[in-house]
Amino acid sequence: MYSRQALTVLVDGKKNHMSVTFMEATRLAPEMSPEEYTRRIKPVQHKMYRFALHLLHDGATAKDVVQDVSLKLWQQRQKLHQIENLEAWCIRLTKNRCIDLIRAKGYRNDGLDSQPEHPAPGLMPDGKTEQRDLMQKVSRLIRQLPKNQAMTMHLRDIEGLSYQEIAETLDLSLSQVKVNIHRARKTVRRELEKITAYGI
Amino acid sequence: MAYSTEQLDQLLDRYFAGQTSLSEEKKLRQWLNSPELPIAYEMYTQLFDIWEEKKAEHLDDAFFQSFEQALHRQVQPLTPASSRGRLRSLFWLRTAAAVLLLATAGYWMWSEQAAPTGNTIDWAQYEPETPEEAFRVYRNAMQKLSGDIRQGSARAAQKVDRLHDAGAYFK
Repeated sequence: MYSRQALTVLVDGKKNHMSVTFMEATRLAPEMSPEEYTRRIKPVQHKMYRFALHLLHDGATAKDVVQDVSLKLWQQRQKLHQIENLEAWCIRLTKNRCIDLIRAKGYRNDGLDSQPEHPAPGLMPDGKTEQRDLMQKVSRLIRQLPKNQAMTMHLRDIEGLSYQEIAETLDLSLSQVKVNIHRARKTVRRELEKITAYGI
Repeated sequence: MAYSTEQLDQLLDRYFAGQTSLSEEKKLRQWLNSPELPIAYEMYTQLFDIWEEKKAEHLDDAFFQSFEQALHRQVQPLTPASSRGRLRSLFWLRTAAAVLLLATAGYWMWSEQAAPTGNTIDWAQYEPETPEEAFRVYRNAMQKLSGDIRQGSARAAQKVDRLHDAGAYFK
């Protein structure tokens, strides 16, 4: 078992800390080509986009955030090899950037019921307006959850991250993650049953 | 149906309590998507459909084209070709500096070796040739030495007098 140490990467003038193993920290970081970087980052960018969209509710701004964070990360590519979990790291940077935007510009897009840019094929056939209505209500409900609960739920139920990865991404303890997911799902279940029973 | 409603209820309870593992959540999705699912559970199926719908949101090709262009714009100044060019110019600069240094050092060494030996003083020409001349040279040297010593003791006496005066002033 290798001892762990903190890795600090500066992005947007902010220090982002993450623990790495000693072996990883001392490994010589080879120069990464743009192609290699694109290959590694591309699958993560979809997740970054979904997370940014979840926080900002605006597709165009979410794309800008993903590009911005990805380019900033490229500038620090020498340290990229030291990052144990690139996915968690990227989502964390995306979260920080989105929160900065929300704080700096009072950014708010209330297009809560906006359609996704690429709806999943086959999920929403014509005529299923009731199902669409339910989805909109549940989506609105999720957005009304406290931020940490909503983010935790997103990372677990949509991105399929483990509790440990969520804790690392959101800079929370494992127990905080479990409490958040428990509270979020409990609220969703209660409201879901209420909507189904009374249509409210 | 590969599961009982009791099993489904238990798994749902554990899911909403946040106690399920990722593999259990995957199994729950499969159960909720089975065609024999009782209608009372459809709301849970719809909840999981929402997750699936959100998971299907993705970046398009236009984004990746734009990203790759932006990435290459950043890469351009650091291309291997330009780095090689900079290294090559550094190499020639270092070579020129080394040649100049060697040439200067070589010239200096050559000039040292080629300097005429006639510049050295031939002390033999000042050697006294007779005992009388040697005595005269010795006497002159002693007289000069004696004069210097006298001058030195006079100056020392002068300074002692000044100190004495200064002492008397502060008394």
